[in-house]
Amino acid sequence: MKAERWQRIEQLYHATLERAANQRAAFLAEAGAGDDGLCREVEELLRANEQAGGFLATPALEQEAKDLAAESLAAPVAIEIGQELSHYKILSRLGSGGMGEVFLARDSILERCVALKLLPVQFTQSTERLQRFAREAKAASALNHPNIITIYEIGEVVTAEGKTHFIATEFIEGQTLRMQTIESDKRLRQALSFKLPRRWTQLTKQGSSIATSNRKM
Amino acid sequence: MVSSPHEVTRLLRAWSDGDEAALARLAPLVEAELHRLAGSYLRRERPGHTLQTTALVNEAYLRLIDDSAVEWRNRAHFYGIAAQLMRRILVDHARRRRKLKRGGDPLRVSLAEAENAALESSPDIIALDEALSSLAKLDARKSQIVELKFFGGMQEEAIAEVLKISLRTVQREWNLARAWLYNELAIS
Repeated sequence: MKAERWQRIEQLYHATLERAANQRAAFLAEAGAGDDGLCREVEELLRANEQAGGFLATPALEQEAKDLAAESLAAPVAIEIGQELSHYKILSRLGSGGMGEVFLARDSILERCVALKLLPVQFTQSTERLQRFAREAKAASALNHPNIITIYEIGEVVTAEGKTHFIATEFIEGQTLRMQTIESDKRLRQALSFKLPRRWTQLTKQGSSIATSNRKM
Repeated sequence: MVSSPHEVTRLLRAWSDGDEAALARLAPLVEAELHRLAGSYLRRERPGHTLQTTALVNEAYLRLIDDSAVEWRNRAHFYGIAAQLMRRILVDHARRRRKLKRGGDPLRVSLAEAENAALESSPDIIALDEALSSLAKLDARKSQIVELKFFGGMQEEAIAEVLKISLRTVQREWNLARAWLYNELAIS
């Protein structure tokens, strides 16, 4: 692009931007008359300016640090199979979620299998995260329904990375609903899509009535 | 490890004189600040603690780019070099991260994480670096203003002072440069 043309675009851009929003289109059409290409380019920039929102509002150092933080949250907890955490022996990794990773473990005192959810060590330095973790456990333990998992215990354990918090719950063998829907045939999926909402409404009704009574207290 | 601001200034000067080895000694300093900041985000009490975050970022920039040992008449040059250096190190850092991510397992993102990501949507720093180079060919000063502000973490007032232009000019040029870059990134 020639320097003069860029200067012309710049001039027209700022002149248009100085007008009230509802007068811009008319102003631009008049000021850029005869040069549709110019008007279009200015229009595009004005639109970009409106849409840009918080674009570049965060300095690069901050943004890169945030991305780094987000990534380290996604990194798996350094737990080895066979490792013992308190009275739990880790048997296998079951999966991971936003608030930590879940392992299959054996409770050596009560001699039963549990699902052990570990909060990432970094989170333990955040009181907000810890409160959320405890809230999650409390909320789930307040519910008693065959379709909701039972909470056995919450507590602290020491891992190689430091002290962290855990929730031990009942372990239910089987596939997740998503896996089942993906793997099973169409008929089963149809059946599920019909039956599921009814079971869900029962569940959520019970869940919300408990939540409401908790709030009232 | 170097930590004194004077040492950073000396390394910056060496780097601007063409000493590539100085870059290798400066990069770990920037990375240390990155990790320090990332750690503070992970520990932060409440999400969206903007004020606190801004202060932390400013402190980090101050530790890296301290002009107290620089003569007044050299300040423009010094800040220009510092911002260029931040740009290079941060873009390299983003490239390395991207490479690691590609090599590893595909990320499984929970709903909560996806929500967080949407809230803190940020431009692709590598694509931005390329767009900024295109902008430099079209309008060198606008590209420099973006470099100083976005990569160098400078305030608009300081940029006006260093470039010897009015604050209003800095704001106008930043506004247009930002719109232009946004268009470039949206199209590509």
